[in-house]
Amino acid sequence: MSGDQHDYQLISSLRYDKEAVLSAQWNTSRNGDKQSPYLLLSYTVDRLITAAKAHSWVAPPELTLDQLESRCNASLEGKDPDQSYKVMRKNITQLHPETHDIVDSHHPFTTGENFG
Amino acid sequence: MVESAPVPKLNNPGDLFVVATLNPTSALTISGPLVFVHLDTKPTSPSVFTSTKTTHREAYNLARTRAGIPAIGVEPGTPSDVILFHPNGQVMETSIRNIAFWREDRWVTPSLQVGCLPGVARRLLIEEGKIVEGDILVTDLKVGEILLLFNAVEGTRLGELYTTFS
Repeated sequence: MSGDQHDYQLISSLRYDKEAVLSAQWNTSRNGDKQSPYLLLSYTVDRLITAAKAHSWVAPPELTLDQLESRCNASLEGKDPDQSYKVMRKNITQLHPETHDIVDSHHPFTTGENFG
Repeated sequence: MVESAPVPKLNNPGDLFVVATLNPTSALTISGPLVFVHLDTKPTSPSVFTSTKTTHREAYNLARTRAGIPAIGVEPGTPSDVILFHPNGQVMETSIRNIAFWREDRWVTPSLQVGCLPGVARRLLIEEGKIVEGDILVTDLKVGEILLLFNAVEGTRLGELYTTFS
């Protein structure tokens, strides 16, 4: 069963941060011992696959750590590399990168998406 | 689809999860605002929409509305959130974060059996031994107690329980 047949999507939000995440050992050790600015991206992959099963959906074969990081990178192309970002992963049946700008503030509620 | 949007830089970028090492009953130096946390006035039945993260956010949106918290995206400066709880009285999570409570000298987070989201920050904190799973009853919550909140965007931050059952 495909997620496209439903009126909802699986989502996940994570932090992209070259200051706080990139050099963090706890993040590197959970990313195949490779530094990454994405917070716990491998755990996000695990959770999306588990969630797909919970909804009786089939996770796409390209939903791997490397592929997801590549798609996230594509989403951030052209963005300020010194900025921190929230990356949203939507629609588990498609990996289509999309970017949009939202005004910064002192706390991240203003980004207009849920974080939990 | 992958979307990206700017978020604020951290007050303390040294460790996103350092807050989880704090004892809230001792003197604290807190950088950044506490999240004002309300207790929902009605229970939420667990479902596949609470144990997985989807765009179907009705349970969370209703809880925020009952707590008087604006929809995400239109909230003013004061950070606030609301605790959802199971019909059996056990705490589940907040509208956008997993949560832990300081009990017997450690942070205790609701177990997945209650129907909360298996957050990736939650998973890390459990693996690192900074939080443990356990049952948290709404009847045991106290106004003013310090809470540990966490997700994969903010890491950890502290909140204060602002309202509970009267």
